[in-house]
Amino acid sequence: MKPLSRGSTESTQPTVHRPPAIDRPQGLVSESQGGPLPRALQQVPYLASHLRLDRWTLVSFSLPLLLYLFTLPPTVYNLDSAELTTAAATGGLMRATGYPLYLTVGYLWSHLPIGDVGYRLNLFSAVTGALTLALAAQILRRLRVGGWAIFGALGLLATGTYFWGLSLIAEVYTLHTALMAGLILALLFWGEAPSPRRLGLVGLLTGLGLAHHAAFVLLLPGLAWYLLVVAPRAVFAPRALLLASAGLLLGLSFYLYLPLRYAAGPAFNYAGTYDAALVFHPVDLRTPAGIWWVVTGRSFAGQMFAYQGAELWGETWNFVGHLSQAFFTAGVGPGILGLFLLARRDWRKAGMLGLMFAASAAFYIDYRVIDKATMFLPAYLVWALWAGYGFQQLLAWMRQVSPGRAGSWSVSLLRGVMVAAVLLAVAWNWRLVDLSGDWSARARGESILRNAQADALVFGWWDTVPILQYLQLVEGQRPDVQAINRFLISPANMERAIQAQLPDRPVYVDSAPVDMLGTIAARPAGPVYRLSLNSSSTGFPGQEAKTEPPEDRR
Amino acid sequence: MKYVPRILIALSVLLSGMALIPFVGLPEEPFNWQQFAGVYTDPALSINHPAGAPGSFFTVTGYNFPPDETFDVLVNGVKIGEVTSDPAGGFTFLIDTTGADPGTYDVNVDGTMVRFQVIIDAPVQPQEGEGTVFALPAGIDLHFIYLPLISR
Repeated sequence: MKPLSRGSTESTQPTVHRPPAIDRPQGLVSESQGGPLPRALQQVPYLASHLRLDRWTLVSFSLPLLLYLFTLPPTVYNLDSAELTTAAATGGLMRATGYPLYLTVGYLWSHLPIGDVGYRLNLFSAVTGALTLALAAQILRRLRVGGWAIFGALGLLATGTYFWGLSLIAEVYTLHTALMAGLILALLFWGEAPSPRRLGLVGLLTGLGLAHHAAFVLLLPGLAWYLLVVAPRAVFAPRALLLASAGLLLGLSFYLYLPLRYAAGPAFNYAGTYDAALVFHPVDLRTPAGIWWVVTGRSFAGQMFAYQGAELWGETWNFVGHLSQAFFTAGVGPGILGLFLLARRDWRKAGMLGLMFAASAAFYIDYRVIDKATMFLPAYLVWALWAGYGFQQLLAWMRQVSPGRAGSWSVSLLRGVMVAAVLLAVAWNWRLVDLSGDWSARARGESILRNAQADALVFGWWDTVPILQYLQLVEGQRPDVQAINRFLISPANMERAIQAQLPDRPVYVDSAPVDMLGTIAARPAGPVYRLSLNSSSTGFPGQEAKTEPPEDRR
Repeated sequence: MKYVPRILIALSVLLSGMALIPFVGLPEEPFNWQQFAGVYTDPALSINHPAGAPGSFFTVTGYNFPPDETFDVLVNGVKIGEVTSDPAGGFTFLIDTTGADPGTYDVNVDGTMVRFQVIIDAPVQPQEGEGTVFALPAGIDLHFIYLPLISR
């Protein structure tokens, strides 16, 4: 039995100065051939002329997009989605890490004449998710991976619950992965012919990525590795440095959004805190210190590097579980195979991808938040590339030993298994991620606003307040209600504010403030509680307590 | 037939991830915002009186529970009924101690507890508020025996 061969498609020549493989495909004709796009598209200068926009790339974009369009929520979604949508549509300011690129592009996108604003921003995630997959297809083509293997690997990524789910709601992750895929592609493009202009493109995408999400910094070790092992002299050539710096600064210039919008005093601002008198104290984003506070995520510093010892191992095992589920388990084996074979055959590219994967996975494994399974998307993207490479090598290996009818049959069998895995993932995961009939966030927000009396004050967490602010600031509903996210006010200040405000205005809270139930009463009012001063003593275990009948609910 | 081993190896690689299923499972949780709702607040129970004579009614109120879910109501580990939370995650039920033995009772709903005592000399607490009334069965009271602590 022969070991897995190097295959007939992979060159062992050094990466530097190799002619663009994709322009002259060799071997694997049946796996990689695709019809070219119309000539007009291929005439797009520079970058587009170097991309082979074949049918597999188009399939990688259009099929997932179609899937996402079928399952997209019809209106604004909840939690971070409502926050992002409101901030983008109103030119507002977000919590750390600021997301200036998303807010700028999202503001423009929110003016599309389709659906409501919430739907438009959900659609933005779908498009950037599909764009990620198209760019990943281009990366795989440059690794000489054929169409069926691309379909198998990216199909599993696209239909995994995490990638699929995050492509349906307004979120930052699919734009992040699109920029990441663009950066990897630009690096490979530069590696084929390290020119200053191509390094400028790398710089631009790095700047854009950093202007989108500070976690893009986790990709920098892989980037630096690739630049330094492929052509270090080309990196430090004066013209290359100049163009790279210019591109980087151009991308980073989106950070100007923060001071500019701060100066405008936006109605939606999550960069700051409330005091007990409900006065908002924004972080001064006109100062470098203020911008640094936002960009570095200081408000989340306590969650970073939070695990040690056995707990850390537990989180690592959880990541293995997330990774397995992200690829419906079928991408695990080919991913491992692709990782090892790529490391054997092209250690430069393997090192780049390995460092990007390791940094992204390690940081979030050690990050103490409840929704971190969604934050591994960059690691999943790298894994999909390895899986595609592994799929391709398996197909090539089958064809190599059995060139006749049997070989054709066995290759078809493997292709069939890949396609079946993707279809099975679609069927299994559809019911878990389908949000096409989900109006729950809007219904919750409108129910709260309907129940709220005039000039009410509402305290709530992420599932309550951002959706209210969307309805208020984007759609103009109930401007008399003041909604404050409990993330922006300390528990002590909130308690003092409740005590101070209760005599003068209706106060609602999304969960009963347990520590206050000795002095106030809480009764359900729709999805929240209405608070009132309690003349008699109330309490909790061991104390007297008072309960009131529910308020009328509509 | 030379290709058969290769097919088997290739299929093994393709399907090897399935070996993880017994340990990590397949995706089962719906991908929605509700799974992250209410994570910042702990559920809590309150009771209107800490103690009462046999025949008293105790009103138990739940706060911050997962909305629209049904929970078992346990008293000293014995299920006495079920309660369903409202959209705000709250509920109210009453416990009728007629026929119950004097003693200490721990009410447990979804892991959250509140305690009351039935004491013969305590006042009889009348029924307050509305909600499902659960009768407290006899013979489930807790008796605490305090052992002496001897230290040198």
